[in-house]
Amino acid sequence: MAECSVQRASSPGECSLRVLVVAHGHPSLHKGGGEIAAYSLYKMLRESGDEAVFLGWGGRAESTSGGFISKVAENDYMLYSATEYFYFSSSSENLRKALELLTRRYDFDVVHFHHFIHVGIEAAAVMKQIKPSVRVVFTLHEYLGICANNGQLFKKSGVVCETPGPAQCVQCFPQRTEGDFFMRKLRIQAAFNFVDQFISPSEFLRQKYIEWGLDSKKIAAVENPLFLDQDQKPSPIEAPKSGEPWKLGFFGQINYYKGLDIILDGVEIAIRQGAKVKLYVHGKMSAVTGEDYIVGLREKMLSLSDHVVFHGPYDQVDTLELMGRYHFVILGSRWYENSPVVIQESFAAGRPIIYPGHGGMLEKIQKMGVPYKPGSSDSLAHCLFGLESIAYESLVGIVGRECPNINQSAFMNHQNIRNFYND
Amino acid sequence: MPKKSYLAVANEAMRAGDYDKAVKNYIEALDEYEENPNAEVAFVAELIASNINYLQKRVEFSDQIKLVLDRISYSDQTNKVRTQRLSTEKVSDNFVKPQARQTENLESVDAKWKLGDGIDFNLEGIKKFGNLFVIHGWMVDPNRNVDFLKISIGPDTQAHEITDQITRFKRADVEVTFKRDKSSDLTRCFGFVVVISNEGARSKEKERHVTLSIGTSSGKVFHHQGYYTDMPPTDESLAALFGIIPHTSVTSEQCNRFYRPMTDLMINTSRNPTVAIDKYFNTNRAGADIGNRVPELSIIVPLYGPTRFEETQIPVMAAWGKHNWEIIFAVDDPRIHKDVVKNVARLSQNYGQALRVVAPSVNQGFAGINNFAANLSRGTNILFLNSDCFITEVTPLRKALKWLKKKSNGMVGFRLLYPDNSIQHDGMTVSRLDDTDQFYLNKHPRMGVPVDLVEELSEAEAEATMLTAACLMVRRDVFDSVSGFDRKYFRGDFEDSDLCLKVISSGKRLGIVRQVGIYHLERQTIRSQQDDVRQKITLINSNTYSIKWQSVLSKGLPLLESVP
Repeated sequence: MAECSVQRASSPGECSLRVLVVAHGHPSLHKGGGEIAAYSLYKMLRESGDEAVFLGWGGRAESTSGGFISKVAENDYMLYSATEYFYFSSSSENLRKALELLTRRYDFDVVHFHHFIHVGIEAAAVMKQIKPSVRVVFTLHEYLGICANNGQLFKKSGVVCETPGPAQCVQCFPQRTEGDFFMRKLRIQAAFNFVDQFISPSEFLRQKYIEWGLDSKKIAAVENPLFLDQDQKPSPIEAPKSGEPWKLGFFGQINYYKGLDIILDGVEIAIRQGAKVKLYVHGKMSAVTGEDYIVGLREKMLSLSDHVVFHGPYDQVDTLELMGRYHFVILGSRWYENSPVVIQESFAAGRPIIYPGHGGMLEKIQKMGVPYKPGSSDSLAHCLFGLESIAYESLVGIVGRECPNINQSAFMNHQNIRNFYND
Repeated sequence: MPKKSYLAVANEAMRAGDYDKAVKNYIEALDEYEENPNAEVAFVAELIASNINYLQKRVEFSDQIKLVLDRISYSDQTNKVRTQRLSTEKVSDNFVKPQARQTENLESVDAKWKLGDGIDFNLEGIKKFGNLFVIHGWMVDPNRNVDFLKISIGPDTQAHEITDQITRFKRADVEVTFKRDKSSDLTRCFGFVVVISNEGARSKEKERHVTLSIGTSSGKVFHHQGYYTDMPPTDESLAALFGIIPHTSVTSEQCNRFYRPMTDLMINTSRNPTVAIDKYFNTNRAGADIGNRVPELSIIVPLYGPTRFEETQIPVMAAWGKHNWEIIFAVDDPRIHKDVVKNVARLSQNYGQALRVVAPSVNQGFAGINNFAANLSRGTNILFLNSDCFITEVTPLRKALKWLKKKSNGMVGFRLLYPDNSIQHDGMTVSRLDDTDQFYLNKHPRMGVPVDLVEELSEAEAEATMLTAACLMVRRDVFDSVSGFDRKYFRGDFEDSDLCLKVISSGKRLGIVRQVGIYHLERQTIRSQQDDVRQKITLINSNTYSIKWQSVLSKGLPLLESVP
């Protein structure tokens, strides 16, 4: 680690670090989980007395004035750059120019990248050329290094990809050769060589990257930091009285990978079998996985209108309050997920989760919810039908006990992030 | 304008259904355009061709129509039509017009095409390829009455006897048409091609004619005059010329007389290149030191085609850490000079990798580009590394460097893996295409076997004597003492085994490092080449190689030494 640059005003004698947090998006433009995690980290560092600076991708290859960087607020910037979407090489000099300029101004001790999409896979290497003594930390948010299918580790044939590799990858991308995938891996691994410390928000993702070839000593599993107003924590809710339905809340972006269709099918089957459930859907319909999928969902929700209420997009500040209305938060993800923010929010709201039992969800939720077989609406229906016999209050009790507040040591708090910065 | 009216008349005649008139006028129109070429020529010729094609299906004008079709050929470079005026004029009375190429029509015209003395003959084309003339056709000579063939090029040139220079090959179509016995030997019914060199040939339109004279045993001489077509020395031309012999197999005689003069011509056009690019990138940053120190190793990576392997090579190389090594990208493709320089500038800076880019003024081919770059490089040792061969682990290189310190050792190869961790190369051995010594080939005995299972192979399956140049390290003094790669091979295949034999013959040992960490995608850069042309090229090179090394190869070679 770099020498002490600035004495902390709050606690003299303690070192203040100059940290640049770089994200693949700016939360003022797009509030994705990764952007929020990165921005939360930046805020946490500043509140703890470090000199943090934020640089988020500005959504375009260059600014409207043709520039490579713009200032959003004090210590808060947007980067304009572009990469191709297979090797994620930056095609312009913008990344380098922005990092050079900010490093000249702030002389960073640490640069913490989140994601390489839009920013460029060579970001760590570039930073090391600009300032060889800088410590480079990298948070991996999904499996993009391993999987070219949007980093989902999910085959285009509709199943999770358990053993990714060139021979499997060409099944999803028949226009590419195995050699292309081999080179993709070589390039990403070579670029990762310049990173001093990787952080994975889940152990599941960490293990996947270790299997792929990352040095296990260089990657640690630490949950994303998240700032929620603990005062907003909703009060507990009782299990429904006889004849009343279980209220289930779906939260988050709606696309194929998130599997809302599986949930709808599961609800339909369960109701046919006499289960009492009602589903409330909160989130934005996203066409990233195709318009047809969205159209199909709408039709399905209409046909189930007595049992499904679609609320549409929501503001993150209202999340806890909204979750508090329901007995369960429900997840449907086909893909493994990593550490979806919905899980942390749900726990903060004191609500157990009905979830597909694989990947990051299984790891994070465990007994603080009810698992079902991933991808299977039958299994979900069976699970919903069985809610009658569940000891709901005790389940809520477990959530309360296991997860008293989100700033526990498993999450990224200032102390443990400093350990990674100081190593 | 008369030429317009010929065309107009022809088109009118077409519409009126007077096909005879139409054909005559199309021919006239074509003549006019030939003499006054302009931008419309290609268009008009296309129009004529399409009409003539139509006519061909409708009426019995096979001879005339096909003549016209023969005359219309397109040059890729200029998109102007050049014509091949075969025997429509200035032909001696004894000469009979060449036959239609399509065999189904031959039978009906059989009798009237006879040359005399029972000889049937067709000249199908005369092409000028660099300073070479390629003359080809077919002949049926049941009583072996042809005594000699002579050729003269241009009006003033003396006739050369080419009887013994002819390459004969089987023409199944002609055999069928003339009902020749299938066992008919190549003295009585055959396709032929002859390649002659003529530096003095004129290029003026009026002097483009070639006269072929055929003498028979009864003392008659038939003269046939045609005009030659220019073919630029390109891959496309070569592929077309290779197709004159319609077989995928190749004989030693065909190599000597037909194929090799053309491949040699292609190789020779790139001799003595000048240095078009010699640039250093990022030399002051981390990575190899290209200062005044002599590098321990020069790594030469030839780049060809649009695949941009440098974009993978540079990050991979940047992970090697610091060495006193010089890395040289040798660009053997003028089309990508700019692109490579731009890419290397960006990547060398981003990854902090010191690099050098060199390029010759003209395309060199595998041996040529490696020699060119070796000549500019400064290392005590040289590593030749294919652009699609990736070194993810440098220990094998260190082991090789150490082994090469011993003066009796000369050159080291490496175990190369495919991306699926099966063996791509683990040393090569000698094999033969047939029972002759004409076509020696290289065999990769362990290829395709998963590296984890390779120890289970029998000793015989593991035996290897030579090395691929996909990743090959040689001490510079050894490389120089054998004058580098031999350039007489066209487009790959045998430069590496040739170099191995030269090093072995100079008394030095060959070794192989059998450690994993080097991957070879193999042939992704030259995938585009047509398979049959590629196969012929391999056989031609094999023949060149076999002639050169027959005596050494027949005695057997020492096994590779395993480098510890």
